[in-house]
Amino acid sequence: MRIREIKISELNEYINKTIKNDFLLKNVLVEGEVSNINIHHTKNIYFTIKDEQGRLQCIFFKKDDDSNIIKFENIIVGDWIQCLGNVSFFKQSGTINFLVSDIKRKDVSDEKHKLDELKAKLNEKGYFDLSNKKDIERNPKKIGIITSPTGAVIHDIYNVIKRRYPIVDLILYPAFVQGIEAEESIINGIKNLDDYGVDTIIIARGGGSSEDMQVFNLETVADAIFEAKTPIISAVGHEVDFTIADFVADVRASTPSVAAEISVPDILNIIRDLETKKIYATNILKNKFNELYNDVQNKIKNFLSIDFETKINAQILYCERSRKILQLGVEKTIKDYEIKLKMYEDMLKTLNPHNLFDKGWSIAYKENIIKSANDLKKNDILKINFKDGFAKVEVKEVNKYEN
Amino acid sequence: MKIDEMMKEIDCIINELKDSNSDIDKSIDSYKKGMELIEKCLIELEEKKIKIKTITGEDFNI
Repeated sequence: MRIREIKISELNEYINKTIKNDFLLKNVLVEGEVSNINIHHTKNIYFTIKDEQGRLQCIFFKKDDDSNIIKFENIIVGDWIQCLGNVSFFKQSGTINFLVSDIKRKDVSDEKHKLDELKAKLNEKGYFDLSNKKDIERNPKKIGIITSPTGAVIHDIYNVIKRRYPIVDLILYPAFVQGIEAEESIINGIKNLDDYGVDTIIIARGGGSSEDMQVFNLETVADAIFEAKTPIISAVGHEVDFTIADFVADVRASTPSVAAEISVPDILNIIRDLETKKIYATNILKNKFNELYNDVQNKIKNFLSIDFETKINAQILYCERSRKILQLGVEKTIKDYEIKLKMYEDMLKTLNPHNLFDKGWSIAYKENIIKSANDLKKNDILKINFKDGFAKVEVKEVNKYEN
Repeated sequence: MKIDEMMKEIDCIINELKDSNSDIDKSIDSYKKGMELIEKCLIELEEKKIKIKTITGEDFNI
């Protein structure tokens, strides 16, 4: 095949003509979920619609007399709309856009009504009560993940958790997260991981249309989440997407990566915390040791400052004085005895019967001492004792005094 | 006999000798016994002094 060399402007001109001449690209009605909206100051509105497979950039150019502007201004992200318009090619930017002339919001009031009824019912049953929320284990050993085994979500979760807390075991329950098999798959995942025994369960899926996330608005899934003994983190869709599963779960994470961050602590923080505690504990020990050391030093100083010589001398003096008192006491007792004995001796000497002989008295005996003239008769032989001897005499005569 | 008992007996002997009606022989015996008791007491006291000196290491002060 021959290679043709042409300019960009020439190529763009050709594409533009081709698109313009293709009647299939005119008056087309397409539908999708509004994913972002940008209202320019000129009142032109730029937005994107998407479905399961693709996206389409749309532009609504405002005309002065256009009454459709109100309809456009009322659409919000998440709305499912039908757009009528033509496919257009912009030569300058080389982009294809869908120039919208009219829109129609798809009636979702019935679905919304059903969802509101389910929310009210579950709220009544206490499914959303904060008092029923379980605390997430701060230092988990095992984390169960219910999500699709393919795609970015599991990789995001895996990467975040392994970076933050590489010591945790991750158990993946491969599940369908959209489609007809999703309900049973997710419920089984919750029950199996709950029975197996993990510290936390993460239910996650990436962004998608509200139809894609329909399974997370089912009552059966809400029941399984509520009845699980294990704390559950839900991370369904993007930050702006809210499902019933998010309300029933113990924690709602805005994205799967955030769920991963919530489920585990940062090991670096733990290490830093331990380091801080180590320093703190070491300082406490050091301070305690210093306190004790200073205390001992002060005690030694006080001990050394005591004047033992003075103390001992005072004790010696006290003992000496006590000894003296005791000695004097016992000596006085003996002296008292001696004085008393001397007194007795003097008294005895005074009372000595021999003193009579010194005064010239003598004592006459017959058998006993003669105390009366009546004891005597003539011719009695008597013994008379003197101080220095005795004499035997005979009674010649006995005379009695007349009294 | 303890020194207090001996002192008590000496006291009794003195009272007895003070009684003028007492028998002269008995009085002499009592006197003799009293003097002996006094001697014994003095010996006892001397022994006690020695004992105290042994304990205190000092001579008698009084």
